[in-house]
Amino acid sequence: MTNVGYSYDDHVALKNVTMQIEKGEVVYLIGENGAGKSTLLMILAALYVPTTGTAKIFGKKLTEKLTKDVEIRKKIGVVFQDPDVQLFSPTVYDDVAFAPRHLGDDANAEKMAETAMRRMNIWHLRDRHPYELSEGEKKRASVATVLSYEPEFILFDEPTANMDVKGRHEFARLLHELKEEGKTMVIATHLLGDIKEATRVLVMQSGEVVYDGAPDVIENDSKLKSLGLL
Amino acid sequence: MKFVNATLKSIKAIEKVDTSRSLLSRVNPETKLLSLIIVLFLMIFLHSLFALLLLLLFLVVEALLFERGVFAAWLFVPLFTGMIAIPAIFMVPGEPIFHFYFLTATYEGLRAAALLIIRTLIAVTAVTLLTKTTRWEDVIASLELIRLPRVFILILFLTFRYIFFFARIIESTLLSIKSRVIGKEKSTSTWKLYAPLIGNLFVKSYEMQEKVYMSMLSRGFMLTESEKKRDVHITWSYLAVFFALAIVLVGINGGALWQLPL
Ligand SMILES: Nc1ncnc2c1ncn2[C@@H]1O[C@H](COP(=O)(O)OP(=O)(O)O)[C@@H](O)[C@H]1O
Ligand SMILES: [Mg+2]
Repeated sequence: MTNVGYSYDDHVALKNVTMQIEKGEVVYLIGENGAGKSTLLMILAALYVPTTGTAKIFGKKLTEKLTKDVEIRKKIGVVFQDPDVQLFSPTVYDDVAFAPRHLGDDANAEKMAETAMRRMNIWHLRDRHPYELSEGEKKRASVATVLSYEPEFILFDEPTANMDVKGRHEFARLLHELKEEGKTMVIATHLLGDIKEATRVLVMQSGEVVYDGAPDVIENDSKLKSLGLL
Repeated sequence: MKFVNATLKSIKAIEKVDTSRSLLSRVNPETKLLSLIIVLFLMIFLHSLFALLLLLLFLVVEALLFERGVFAAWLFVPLFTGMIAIPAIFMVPGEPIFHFYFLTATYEGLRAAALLIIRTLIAVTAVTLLTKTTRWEDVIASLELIRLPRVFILILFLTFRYIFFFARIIESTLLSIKSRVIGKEKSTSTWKLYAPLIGNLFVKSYEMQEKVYMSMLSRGFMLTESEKKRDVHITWSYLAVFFALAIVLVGINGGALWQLPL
């Protein structure tokens, strides 16, 4: 994408972002609250159309029409920060099966849903209402709703916020597995902690990307220190 | 507090789909939707108290036979109708029956209140019979089938979800109030304390709806014009019962159906 910007009404949330993500990359998007991570993620997910500049997703120009393109939707998965936003069906099972039913073929939907639920260890919760789950269970269910249709590009918004130590471990292991499977991923976080799987790091501040490069630089870059990010 | 809790419980009862496959959950969604439409038409246009009572009785029997969970939804009728029905008893002018301080209850007032409550019970029972026995995706699909515009369906869905979500927020807020005022149930000041909080949550959960839509969109909600053609099966025998019911009730109702429903 080149010179991409995004404004909510008249509030500018993203300015002049130019970047390109290649297949197989695991990109960490780091920045304080309000830096514009979620907004950028929504554009990368082809859900928001930039208000300035142009973006291309899987080689196609991002337009309002593309946001509703079945082929694009099949390829991209978004795990939203808030599970209460992610989970909208009356039962956990319905929510996980939602995407396979709508994006895949009905015949395989049940199987794909079950596989994803077993992988996230929530199969026993299938008939429960999403609201009745604990925070950790909700988070696992959120991830399952996306894994269920096997998108090749997965975006996570603050996946480990509100997670306990065990949850973070499990999530780190999942990320590792997904990376091995060759998924392209973008993970937005305000925590510098677990960026073990990163192949690349983007640092955001007030709607701009102020650093884009290898993850190891993060640890000894005095400029980042001066930004108060370390 | 008890009253509010009962109301919340009933709202949840409407939402929760019964997974134990009752006979009704095997009737296909389109048929159930059509029968619901018949019932709602009757509810609006019948104005004989007797005919409306019969309609309610029919639904009650249906619920008793197939889906007893429906009655949990009745709990919430008093909250919404009570506020309108009780004043109506005294405010509708007509033949006086009894006096209550300076208020006079009238025959016409009582009748109006009774009609209102019965109509509400009919609507709640009929809608719950559908929602409890049908996956919401099937409800949406059959709404599409009757050519309801997509935007309208989406708004309907989000409104439903919003009500349920809001009910849950109130529930957990009540719980947190309870945990803090043990032994001081009567303290009204806690309400004052929490009213702004509930207001905030109201706004927050409303703003969440846009993101919920994003989440639905990202997972394929209503992308293409009914790409998957549904096979429409109407269970005519089930529907015939409702047609027969409609004919009988319209007969009992007598007189002009186009009369104002009062
Ligand atoms: N729906 C919205 N309406 C208006 N402003 C918003 C909205 N969402 C985010 N913003 C604003 O845009 C900026 C970037 O937000 P966001 O992308 O959510 O940042 P982050 O995810 O890094 O915390 C913030 O200043 C935020 O207040
Ligand atoms: Mg964010």
